[in-house]
Amino acid sequence: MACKGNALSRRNFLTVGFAGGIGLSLTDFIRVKEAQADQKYYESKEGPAKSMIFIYMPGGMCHQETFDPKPYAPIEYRGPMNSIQTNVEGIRINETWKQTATVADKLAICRSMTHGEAAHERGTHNMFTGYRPSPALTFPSMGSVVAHEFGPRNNLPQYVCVPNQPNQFAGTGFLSSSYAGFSLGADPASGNFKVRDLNLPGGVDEGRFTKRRRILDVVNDHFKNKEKSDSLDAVDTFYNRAYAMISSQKAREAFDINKEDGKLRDEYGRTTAGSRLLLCRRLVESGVRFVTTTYGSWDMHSNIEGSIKGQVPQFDQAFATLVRDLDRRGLLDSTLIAIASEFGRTAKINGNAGRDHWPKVFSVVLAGGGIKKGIVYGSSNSIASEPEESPLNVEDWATTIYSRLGIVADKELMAPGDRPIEIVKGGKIRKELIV
Amino acid sequence: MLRRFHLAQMLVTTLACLSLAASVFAASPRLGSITPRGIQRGQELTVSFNGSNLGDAEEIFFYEGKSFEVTKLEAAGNKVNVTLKIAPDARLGEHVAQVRTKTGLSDYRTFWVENLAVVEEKEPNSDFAAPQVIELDRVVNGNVGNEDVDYYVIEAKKGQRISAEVVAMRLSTALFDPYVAILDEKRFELSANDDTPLALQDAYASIVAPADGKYVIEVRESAYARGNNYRLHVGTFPRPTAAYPAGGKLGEELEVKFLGLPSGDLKQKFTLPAEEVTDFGIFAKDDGGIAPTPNNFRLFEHGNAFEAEPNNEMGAASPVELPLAFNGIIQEAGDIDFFKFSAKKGQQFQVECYARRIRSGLDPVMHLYKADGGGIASNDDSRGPDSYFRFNVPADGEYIIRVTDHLGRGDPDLVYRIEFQAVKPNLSLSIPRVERYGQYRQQIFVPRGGRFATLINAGRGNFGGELVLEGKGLPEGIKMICENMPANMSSMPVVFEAAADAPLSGKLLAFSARHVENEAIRGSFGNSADFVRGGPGQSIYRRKAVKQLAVAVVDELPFKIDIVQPKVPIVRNGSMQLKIVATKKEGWDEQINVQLPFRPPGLGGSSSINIPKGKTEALYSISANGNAQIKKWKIYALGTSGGMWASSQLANLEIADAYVTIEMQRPACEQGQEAQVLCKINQSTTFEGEATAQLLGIPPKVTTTDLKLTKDTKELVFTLKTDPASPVGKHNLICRLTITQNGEPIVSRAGSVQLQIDKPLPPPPDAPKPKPAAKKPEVAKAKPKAKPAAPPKPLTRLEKLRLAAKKRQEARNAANAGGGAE
Repeated sequence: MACKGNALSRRNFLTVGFAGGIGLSLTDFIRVKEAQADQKYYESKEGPAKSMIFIYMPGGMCHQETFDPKPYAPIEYRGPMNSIQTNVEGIRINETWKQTATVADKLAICRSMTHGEAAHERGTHNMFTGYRPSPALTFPSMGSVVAHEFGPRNNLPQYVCVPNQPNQFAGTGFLSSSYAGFSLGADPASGNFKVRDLNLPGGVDEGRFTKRRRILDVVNDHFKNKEKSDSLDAVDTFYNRAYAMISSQKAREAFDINKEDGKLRDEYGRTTAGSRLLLCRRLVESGVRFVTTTYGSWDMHSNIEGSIKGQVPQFDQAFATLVRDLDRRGLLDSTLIAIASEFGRTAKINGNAGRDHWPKVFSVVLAGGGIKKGIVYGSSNSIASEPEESPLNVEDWATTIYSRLGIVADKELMAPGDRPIEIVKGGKIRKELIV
Repeated sequence: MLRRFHLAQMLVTTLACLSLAASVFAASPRLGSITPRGIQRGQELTVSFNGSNLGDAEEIFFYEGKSFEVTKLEAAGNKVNVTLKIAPDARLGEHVAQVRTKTGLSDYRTFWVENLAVVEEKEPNSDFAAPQVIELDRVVNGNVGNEDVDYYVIEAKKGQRISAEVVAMRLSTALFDPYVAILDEKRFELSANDDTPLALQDAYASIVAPADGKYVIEVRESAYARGNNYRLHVGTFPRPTAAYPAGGKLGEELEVKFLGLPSGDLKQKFTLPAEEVTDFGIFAKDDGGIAPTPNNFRLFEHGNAFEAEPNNEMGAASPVELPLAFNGIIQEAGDIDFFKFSAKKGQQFQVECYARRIRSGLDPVMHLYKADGGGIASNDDSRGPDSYFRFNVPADGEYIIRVTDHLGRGDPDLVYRIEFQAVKPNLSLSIPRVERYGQYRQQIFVPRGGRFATLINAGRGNFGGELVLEGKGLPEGIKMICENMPANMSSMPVVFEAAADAPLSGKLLAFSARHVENEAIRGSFGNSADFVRGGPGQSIYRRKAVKQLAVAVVDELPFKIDIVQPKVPIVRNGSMQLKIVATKKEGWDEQINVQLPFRPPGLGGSSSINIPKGKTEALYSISANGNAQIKKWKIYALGTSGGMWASSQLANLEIADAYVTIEMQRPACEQGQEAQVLCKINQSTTFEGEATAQLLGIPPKVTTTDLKLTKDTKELVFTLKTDPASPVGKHNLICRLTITQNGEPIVSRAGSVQLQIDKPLPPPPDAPKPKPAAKKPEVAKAKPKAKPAAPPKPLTRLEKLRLAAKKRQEARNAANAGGGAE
């Protein structure tokens, strides 16, 4: 009969003085230390882009009816819509993007974005994390990585979602939940917009609030002594930041779009898109590092012309205004803007006058913070079904964005199981895109 | 029992269709339901047809018309109330009807003909202690709400048969999976049932009363969820679970044994119809009454052979003869049935085992062997749970077929039959769906003095070849216009025209087609409508197939549309603007949406176009790809406005091979230079006059001019002038060729090429600057000298590269030579 050995084996018995207290054996301790020693580490220093506005178009934004029209393709590929000339000679975009056409000289339109995931959630995962989905690990979104790498500015959260975290992949992944995006909980477009929990409850003044907080601290300290867990720490961090934010007038005002000039609000448009993008600008201006927002519903399997004509104009107005507004305030060069979606749509118009999922080639737009201006990067083929020049993969897309924010994407973060995981694995910076 | 989440996902096709109908198709009549869902035969009563746009209803089409007489029809808004006389001998079970209005034809829907008198459910009846009292031999029209249980009490004498059958899912109204039980006064279940192979999700229970007394019948949703309308048949009627044999020869009389009755098996004689009947079934009948729903029954061209137990081994196989159908029962667990028969070399059969398809509980597995050993074929589930294989008899001799249950189960009512069907051609026609789950526009409604058109699809089995649509028996004044369907096509356009004075009328007809040469190969229209669907994955729980096509002449429309017959073909890789003209009646001016439902292989185009208010024509962009099938095709345009539909004439559209293709050689130049595109013209069809070649996709700050060519042109050269700011990179250019013939353009993409613009090379770093500069003019001079000798032929990319390399080499040599001299 095989010997089962002593439950307290010799190897496990060798615990290290202090580590033993938290239950690490020597082998565990050495493993962690080795992992940390091997971890690729780079200090993150603010890059040309001090903040980023990530505009996500859920559903799979068609590239043909937005930034990659094919005016010479046969009608069933070209689709029912026309294209217009932008203010950069030779760059044409869809006819509904009239105002964006006037700021094209400030944009970098990438027409060769490509990956292989034709399901919404998988494509979304790609674009938010820079990784293909894995059953083994949940990856952090770009916003959470930014929150992890940089501390807060002006008492504001580093990562804010307008109005809410748009999907599960915009979360913290394997990072601590303290790097989660701050969700507004209400749409800035609604008339009685008020950020959830940002103001003191009715009848509670500053003094009473501080007193309450002190009482809570006593309770919390008690728990902290009893328990050790990431979620407790995370909640703690979160609360501390929230207190800081609530008690700072300036921080609170960042969320109040009513403080904006009425004329500017009209310029953005008093619409969903207008209010969201205006709030994004207020937030980055006040010190938020990464804002994620969404607009519209782009899963246009039928009647693509009607859907585009229905939802593009208000976004077009808001987006063009955002670019102009940031530019006027001198913030464009320090604010990176991106428009992205999980995938593009099929080259051929389908039987319902729509287009279906197509990740093989689609378009994304970058602007501002350290990105070249007035260029088209990459191209798709004559019917917009495959990348033709400079295919831009997910890793390079994320790495290029991180580089603008001052993060070396090769840096490894520690995932559960002491696995050092690169922020983006194997991505390269696309030099042609950056200044 | 259906799982809960199925019910949560409950989607009722009826309602979905109706809401769509109401919002989009204002003038197209839609039928959502027929109420009450069951009607007693031999009675006269009012039946409502509910839907939308039924206010101008004129007639009800009954698919078994002889049993129903409409004595009064009142239509208003979205409802038609019909007083109906139902013949006393009307077939029991599910029937189909649809509404004809002045302006269209509705969907078809089902209703049930019943034998027993109706009583209405009276709530509260949800307490076992206080059930609703009903008499035996009644149909209860009831409804199950959320967590609702309905109890009914009847009185019966000892030995009396009590049967209860619920028709709920089969009403095709909603996803409602019922449960039924017969309980005694002490609340003991005597018989309870949720699902059965015979009634699918519906349920029935049957007992012989063990004593005089009261018996309670319980009806609810199987998971206590919200149900819907149901018809509960309660009586002394027989409710067999199976019939044996479950099929017989067309036109013959035979005796059938009904199985699964609590009172013992029941024998009954039937005379079978002489011709095929859709969904044929037989009804068990004895002194206690007649079963409310049938047992499915196969009609076959040959008679029956039967198993003789014991036949559980190959050696004891029951001897049977072809072409008879082999009938058997897998009676007990582990039962295996063997049949032995002889067949001749060269015979071909489709061997079909019918079990689940005749609603038997058996999941058959079928094996075929040579009698002297060796397997030939086997199958489990080719026909759903049923089995099928094709048998090409390899040699004269004896063969053995083996049948058993997939899980080795057995039961006295696990009936099956094996039919050896001859391999013969079969043909079916259909109208493709335009709604995913509805029947919209799967009828023919032709406006007076106007046209309607549809695609007709043909499914050919075991034959190929051209088909002729017969169009016999169309209502008075309707003419059908179509060509024969080519052998390589399974879909074709058919236009129907109605005379201006055609009477407003309609009918159901057997719409048929046949092989162009062999008249024996024929088939007819059939449709299958989905009524109830639910999880998982939009599974269809109830559908109804019909074999007749509804055709009607409807009111004149305020518009007509026509295709202006193009005088030129559309060529491969070409495009065309097809002109669609509308004739609007005075005083009517609405937008008309136009689509081209029939697209020959390789022809693409806009999904649809609009002829806006105030306009009477529009251009429809179509394009042919490089493999479009070359042929003179017939196409039609279908226009719609406010739910009215009008078709154009059947117009000609010729798809031809490209007249001219152009081979273009890749141009390249540095910014500020000129590039030349050498084009070799290949003409396969000569044309008159001058054609225009135009380069598209030229990048900014590059210019060129259009060129002309004639049938004699062999070569063309486009000169592209770039400027120092022209964008560097590769640019795709397309050559669009426009040939004018009969006054109309033939437009094609005759060629394409990539233009490369480079940044000028920096001067060689190590070359001494002044010298090559001094030498360059000499080289430049040398070139013009060489040129006059040859005609000024544009150089290909390769030639240019060679020349450039040569020049560089010469310059380098010269520089080296100069350096050496110094």
